Amino acid sequence: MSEAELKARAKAIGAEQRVGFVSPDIPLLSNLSVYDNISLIPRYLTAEKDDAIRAEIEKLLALLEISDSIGKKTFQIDSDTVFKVKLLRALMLKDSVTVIDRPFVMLSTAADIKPIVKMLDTLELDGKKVVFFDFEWNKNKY
Amino acid sequence: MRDFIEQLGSKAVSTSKNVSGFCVFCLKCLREFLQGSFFNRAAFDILVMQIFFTAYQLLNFFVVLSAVFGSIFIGIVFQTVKSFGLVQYLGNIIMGVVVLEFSPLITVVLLALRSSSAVNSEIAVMKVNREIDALESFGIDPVVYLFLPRIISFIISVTILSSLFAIIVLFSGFIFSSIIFEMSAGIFSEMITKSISVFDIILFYIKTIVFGFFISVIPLYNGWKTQYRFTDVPVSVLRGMMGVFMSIVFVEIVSLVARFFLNSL
Repeated sequence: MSEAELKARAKAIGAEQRVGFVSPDIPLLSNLSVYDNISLIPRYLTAEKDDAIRAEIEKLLALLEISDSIGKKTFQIDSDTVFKVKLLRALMLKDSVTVIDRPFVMLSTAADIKPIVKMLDTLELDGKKVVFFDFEWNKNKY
Repeated sequence: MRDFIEQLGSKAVSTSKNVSGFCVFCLKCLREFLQGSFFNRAAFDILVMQIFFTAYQLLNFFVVLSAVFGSIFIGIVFQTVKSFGLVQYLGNIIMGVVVLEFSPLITVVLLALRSSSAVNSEIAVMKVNREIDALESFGIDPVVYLFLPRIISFIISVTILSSLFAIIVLFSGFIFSSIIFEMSAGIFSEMITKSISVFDIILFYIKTIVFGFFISVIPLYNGWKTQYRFTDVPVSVLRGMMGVFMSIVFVEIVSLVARFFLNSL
């Protein structure tokens, strides 16, 4: 498949809002704050009220213990927080599968998958499907 | 000879591709505009913020610049009119040259220098950082979220600031006319209203809208077409700003021809 075809396919998947990517290749928007990065998805794609979105995001940030980062820009947060924000952004897509691509590239200090699984458990993802996508060389970490 | 023809052909092909790409981009923006996509609240926030950055933040500086620049220009025009004994054409000169031509031109040059370059580099850096790809991967259309709000905000900003410039210049004109020609406010306003037609006002606003459109859409397109290399960012800004300059000249010529044509009717 050519690069153009791959891009078109990825775009179509995105347009159908079925996959929320957490990937080192899909960055946060550098000119937006942590809150704006996460809230952009529901504010653009849904008719959910702003107050409800804010309450949900504040709750999720508190669960992951990064409430103090809510107003920070992406260059002001560390790589662990970047990963958490990317995860929350992906989870904002309703009725979707979350794909975590190469987590150990983003969480370089993590010894294994446990911290990420714990993170997902903390978020109480009811019926949410999360898929890990990684290279063979990280197999021992799962 | 063959090399020359090949180079010429290749240049023609790349230029036509670029022009057709630009036209497609403009049509996509226009389609989203007609569909009212900017009413999406995330895009609307960008629109409001962009008006704040483009027009409101510039306001103090712009008012001072308009007053200083407008007064100098009006002063020169009045002295010339007085020297050549063209007082009967004063109204036409103020409205035709200073207000209808000078105001949008100075406004658009200032906004192009300040905001078009910023928008071009912002979009180019977003492209290189793959932030635009990130938006698309979440089903967010960059035309709706990034480009359309900026185009609309530029159009609004150029229109408002050009009108403001025109008002300040007219006020300067009144002060200078009372000093140099000892003209009363009543005579000055009568002279101004006599020398302006509805067509002039329509043309003024069409011109500001077209200016606003071009000085935003060209940098946006060039930023969006940037390759995934940081070394391509300055090239993109350079191309964008050259395009903006060419478009300003082009619109200015077209508007002059249009005014000439309308006045001869």
